[in-house]
Amino acid sequence: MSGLNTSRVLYRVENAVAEITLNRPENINVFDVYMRDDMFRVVKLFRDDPDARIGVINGCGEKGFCAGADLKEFGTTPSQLASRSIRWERDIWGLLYSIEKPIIASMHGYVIGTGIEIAALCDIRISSHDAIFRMPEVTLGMIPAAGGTQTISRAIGMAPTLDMIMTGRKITAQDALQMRLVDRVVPREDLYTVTKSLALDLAGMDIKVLMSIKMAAKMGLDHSLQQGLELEMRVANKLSQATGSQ
Amino acid sequence: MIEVEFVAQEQIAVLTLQDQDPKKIHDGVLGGQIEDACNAIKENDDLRGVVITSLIDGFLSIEPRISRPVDFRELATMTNLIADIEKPTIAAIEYGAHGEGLELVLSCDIRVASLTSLFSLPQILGGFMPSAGGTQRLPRVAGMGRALELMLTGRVFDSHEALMIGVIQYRQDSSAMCKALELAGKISDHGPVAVRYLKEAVQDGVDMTLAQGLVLESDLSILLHSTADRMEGINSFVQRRTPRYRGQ
Repeated sequence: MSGLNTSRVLYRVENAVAEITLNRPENINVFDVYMRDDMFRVVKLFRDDPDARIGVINGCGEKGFCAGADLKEFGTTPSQLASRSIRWERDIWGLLYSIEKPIIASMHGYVIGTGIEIAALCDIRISSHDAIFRMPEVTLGMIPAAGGTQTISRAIGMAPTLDMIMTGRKITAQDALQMRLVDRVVPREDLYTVTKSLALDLAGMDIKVLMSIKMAAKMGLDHSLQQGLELEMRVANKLSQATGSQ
Repeated sequence: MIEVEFVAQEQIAVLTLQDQDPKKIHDGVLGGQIEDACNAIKENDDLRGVVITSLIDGFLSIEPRISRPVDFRELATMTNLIADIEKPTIAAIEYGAHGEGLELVLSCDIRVASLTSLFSLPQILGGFMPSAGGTQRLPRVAGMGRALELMLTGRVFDSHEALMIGVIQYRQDSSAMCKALELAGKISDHGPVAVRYLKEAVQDGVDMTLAQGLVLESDLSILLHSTADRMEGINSFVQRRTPRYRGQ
């Protein structure tokens, strides 16, 4: 078991499963610049950690996974130009999306704004039965900025995305399951063990195969079907050469 | 014939399609009316949302049977005009949507239908094909397999199936209009510029690669930093009061 504990994000590896935990429970893991910086370090660490094959992102504390971005920080950047530079200098969302290893989001309680967007950048989403989802940005005169306008529509389709974000309405775990915003809903008390057991199942498989599937599926979305099929063929060929199998 | 009225302190436009003479679709009368309505919506800065409904059984067709082969360019233009409205659009389906009626509904952002609504794209039964966006919008909504099955058979499906496959987002016991107005009302409380940029980011973004889409989202989001509405949103949150947005 190895670990790195920065203040806002915890990192712990056990049996090839890396647990990345948002750690600001006193504020329902509200995402601020410190959490962004810690997350950036931790996600890079996970990417480069030879002992970690599967990632799990969860949130510390009883109240929830993540209650969104820290509004106290909004309006504090010196200018729009600075905001734009900073957004791309430390592109935490691009980094998270670029990870080739499978990542599971394990969510409970409040999953608001940035919380949903983090999960949307993961591969498999599990939620507790009492989770509450909400995208409140337009109610505050802004739009999602952690990829939500792009990743959510790719996961659940355009009309449900517009419905959810334009109205800013609350969505229960059961509705989230029906909308395919989450893939599984389990009782709160089982969330940790179900997530862990799925992660361990994945960790028992050939990581090269898992990474190839993830890459083909993800990159294929950005291409025409014909190009996607060619990509799949190339990935499969490379894989069979690497493993010596057919 | 289309009726336009403004409700909820003139913030929501309700477009009601009324009895249609197919000849008028041929002659471009309905197309002209829809174009006029869309232009009026575009120029009206106070408007926060649009609800589109119909008194006609199939939303646009005369009745839920095989549509007549009307001028396909005319129909495509009409649905594209609706799809191009920058403000949020909600379809309220009380009596079902068939043929080009369903194609028009599919070009709205959010779709609400009554429990008893029925749907179909029956063009194939008349020896032609959907040509007002149906072959493109239905697969994007319901997936290729389901969309092809529905268009190749032309079969009628009910509101339950419509909800399951994403053709509608809400299925109402009572009036679909009631729910549509509730949604439009909720949306109209929010920052209008943010709502418009949100729609742009989601709709334009799906046709891009993810990397391009993320740049679009970021740029629109940062553009919003200059709005008074965003400051109002943050202040109202901090002061725990209801925000008052002016669209600036």
